[in-house]
Amino acid sequence: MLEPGPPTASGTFKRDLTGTIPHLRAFARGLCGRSDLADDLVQETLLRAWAARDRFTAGTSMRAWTFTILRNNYLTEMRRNRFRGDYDETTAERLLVTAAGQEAPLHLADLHRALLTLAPERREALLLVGAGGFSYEEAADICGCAVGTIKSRVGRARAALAAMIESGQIAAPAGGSQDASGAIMSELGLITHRHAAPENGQPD
Amino acid sequence: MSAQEPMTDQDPTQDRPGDAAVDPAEPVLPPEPVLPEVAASLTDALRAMYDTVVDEPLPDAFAQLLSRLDDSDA
Repeated sequence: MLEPGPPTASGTFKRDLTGTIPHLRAFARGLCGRSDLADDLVQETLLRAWAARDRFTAGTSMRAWTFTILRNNYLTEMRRNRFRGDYDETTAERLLVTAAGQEAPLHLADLHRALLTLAPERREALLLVGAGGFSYEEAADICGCAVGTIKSRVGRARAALAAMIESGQIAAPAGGSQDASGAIMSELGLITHRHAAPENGQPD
Repeated sequence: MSAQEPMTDQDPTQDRPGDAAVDPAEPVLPPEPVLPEVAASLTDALRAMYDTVVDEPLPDAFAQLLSRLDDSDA
């Protein structure tokens, strides 16, 4: 191993790149629904980002830059029919979450399944803005489209999910014990609460 | 544009030139408005979903990949 000397440009790059990995995994998982394929996508993204590191502008968002690369890889894989909307439910996604207008909580797994039924353009827009906390402008840069297009896609994605919840297509879990749900809900409440503070400069 | 996928000689963030032009997924109808509280709760739920992955421990494969990255190029 090398001695940790003063930070070099590539050392800083590697550190920042490493810091994006959990977010890249979350974005990829949301996009393709399968943890193994998502992690393949992230690994490919890291290799491409490293190979293109001279093109990264220091001081700009590493997360936005790598998300752009991941998204392009994803579209390429989609064209090769590698992703077919398969979904593997993870233990974490058996967690429950409440949605407005619903008395019973819903499973994150059901939410994720519903998300995977949306058009890919809407899914990625909602993931970037709704889950990833990007501004509409950042999301538009990542997707290479106009800000208005992103706003429209996010609005449509939300409307579609809301309709699915309302119509019961995203079903509340049947037969769950209230006590168990309550415990999980309070755990989730912490997760959600932690996110509530830094609102990433969304314009409206 | 060629259909080839250059691995290195092109900015990997810029290899989808056609994306911005047409959006077949977007019909001309305006989106149905979602109540603000519904939108907010969806955002909370999506963030919870996202965070469950962010909070996972990284699989070993990532450490192995990172250790292969150095200035001599992977």
